[in-house]
Amino acid sequence: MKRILVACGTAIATSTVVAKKIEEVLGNKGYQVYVDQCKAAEAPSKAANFDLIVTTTPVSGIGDVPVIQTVSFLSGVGMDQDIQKIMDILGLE
Amino acid sequence: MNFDAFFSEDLVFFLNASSQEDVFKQMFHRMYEQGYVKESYLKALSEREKVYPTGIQTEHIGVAIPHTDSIHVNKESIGVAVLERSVSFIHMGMEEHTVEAEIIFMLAIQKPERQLGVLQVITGLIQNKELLQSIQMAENKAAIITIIQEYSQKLNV
Repeated sequence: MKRILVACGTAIATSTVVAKKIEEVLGNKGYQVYVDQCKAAEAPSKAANFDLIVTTTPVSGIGDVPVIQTVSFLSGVGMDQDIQKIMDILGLE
Repeated sequence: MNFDAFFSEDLVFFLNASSQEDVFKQMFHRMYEQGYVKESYLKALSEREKVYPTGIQTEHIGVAIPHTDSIHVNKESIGVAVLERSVSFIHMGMEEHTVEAEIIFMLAIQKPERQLGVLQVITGLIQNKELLQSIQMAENKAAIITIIQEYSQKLNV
């Protein structure tokens, strides 16, 4: 199963809903993915175990793992394009 | 989700505020007076906003979802403010962009993993142009509570 790490500032509000939204949208398309969430500051230590990082705030020091920085899952603006990006990166058709 | 645990007319605001700081102060004042947040909440909120800004440009208007660590919260709640004039927030994740926020959802959250329902309601509202417009046009606090309540029932979270 593909693994996505969702990061935000303090993991209080935004990463929770973003993680759920990604899981839901991909689920509706028939893809089961594992989604976990963390604070942006924790991303470097967790990144290696994931195929993709989706973050609402800039992250650094995460090596070769692809990163999508976006707030589309909160604002609704550009969400479809970001879902497509996620599917492309994870190789989901 | 237990709607009444999070939303009440007491925490709906029609604000005439001059700045982000003023919005924070006015909303904090009532939330603190009524025991929802600790005295430390205001400072923590402002500091977190500087590091991790919460302005969000939606399709239609700018909003903001200021929040801070749960240790500053006594009782979970959501403050909803409709601003007479927009105030500037830095856009979430984009230091160089500002958002003219017209509606504020101030989140006093304790256990995020258990609060998915209410967070989904907030995000759903933010993504819904018609609902944001109806909140802005609402004539009184009760009308705003009704809009959010009906939406949360529809969402069934």
